[in-house]
Amino acid sequence: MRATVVTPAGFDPAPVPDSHREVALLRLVAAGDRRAFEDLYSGYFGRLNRFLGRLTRRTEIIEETINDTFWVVWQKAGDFRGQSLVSTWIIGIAYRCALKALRRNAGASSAASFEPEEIGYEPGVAREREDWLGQGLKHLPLEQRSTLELAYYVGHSCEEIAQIMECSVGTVKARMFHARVKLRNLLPELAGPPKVEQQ
Amino acid sequence: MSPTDDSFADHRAAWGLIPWVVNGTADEAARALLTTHLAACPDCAAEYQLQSKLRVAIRKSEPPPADATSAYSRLRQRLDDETTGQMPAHRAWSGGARLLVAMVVLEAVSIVALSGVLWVRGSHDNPAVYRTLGSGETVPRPATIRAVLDPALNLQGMQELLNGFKLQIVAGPTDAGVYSLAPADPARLGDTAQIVAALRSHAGVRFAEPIEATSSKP
Repeated sequence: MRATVVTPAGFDPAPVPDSHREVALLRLVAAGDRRAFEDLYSGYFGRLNRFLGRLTRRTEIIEETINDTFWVVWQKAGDFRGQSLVSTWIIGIAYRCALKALRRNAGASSAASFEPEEIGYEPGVAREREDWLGQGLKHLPLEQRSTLELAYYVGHSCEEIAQIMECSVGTVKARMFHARVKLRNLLPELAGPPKVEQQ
Repeated sequence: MSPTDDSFADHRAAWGLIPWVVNGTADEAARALLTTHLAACPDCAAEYQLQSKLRVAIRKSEPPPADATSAYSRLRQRLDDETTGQMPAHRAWSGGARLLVAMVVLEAVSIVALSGVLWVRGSHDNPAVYRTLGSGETVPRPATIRAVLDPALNLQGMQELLNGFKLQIVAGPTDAGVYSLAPADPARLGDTAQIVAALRSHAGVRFAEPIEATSSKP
């Protein structure tokens, strides 16, 4: 039997940051330009909110982490040497700030915060999708969840994720491997639409 | 190595490539390798479909509600506090660390106070000349120029500008960012008009005007 070959051409591209503009903004930030700083903040707020929302659902922790991240960006912008993408650098800072914030708020975040009653979304299809996806993802360790989010939402390569998470490429591959194996069992919805129950 | 081993190794390699081809970050060689493998491996083709669905589901899931405007206003306040020196370098200190710092500061203040008492008692009979760093000028110098600097100017740029014009900050910045300046050399108090004209032509200065002699407010 020949399998159907599927190519990724049919998917929406991952959000690609305008790296030249971001490097220019970061240089202005390094010179103390508040307007450039605000531009950079605005451009990243949604992306970081989305990424951090996979680690905790508590809005106050997410906003605090985003502000901690940009506090570091404000102070360290002059140290950026262009050895990675600006997005990789900023999301790496956010990841480390998130780990610290989650440790500070241990017990009130992470997996427990994925309980449906805390999500507070609009009811409907999105809520249902969020429920089964969130329920599946909450069983993954934070590192595996982050790896999936960075690969599938943010669209980072394996090497970029290794930079962000400060680990080896092999570790990223291993985390992705284990996340996939667990989700195969946890998310039957992924295999197809639910079967119609017989009356 | 047997053909079976080769086949298994290819299958493992292809299986590992799937997420990076799905998210579009794999290189051309990896994409070609996987495409060839998928044509012959139903398991990997099914896994490719599953990972593609997972990616779509993750990208469509709703982010938590958050307010960028209010969050940024808090960060801006934090930056303003840092600029004006009203706050420690990082607010993420634990309660224990803050308590420790408070105790150290309290102890230091006590030592200084005790030293002061002892020094005063010991020096009564033979008073010594004691000068602090700030005691050189007891009369505040009047400001002669009001200026608003470019917000993009960093600390080093501001220092270079002031040193270049041999000016000192007497007061400010106000809420509107206005600095009150005076020549470092009192002999140049009469050169205000020339200094203002030179400041106005400087790229780092948004606004400059002389201060009337009767006014000393920034």
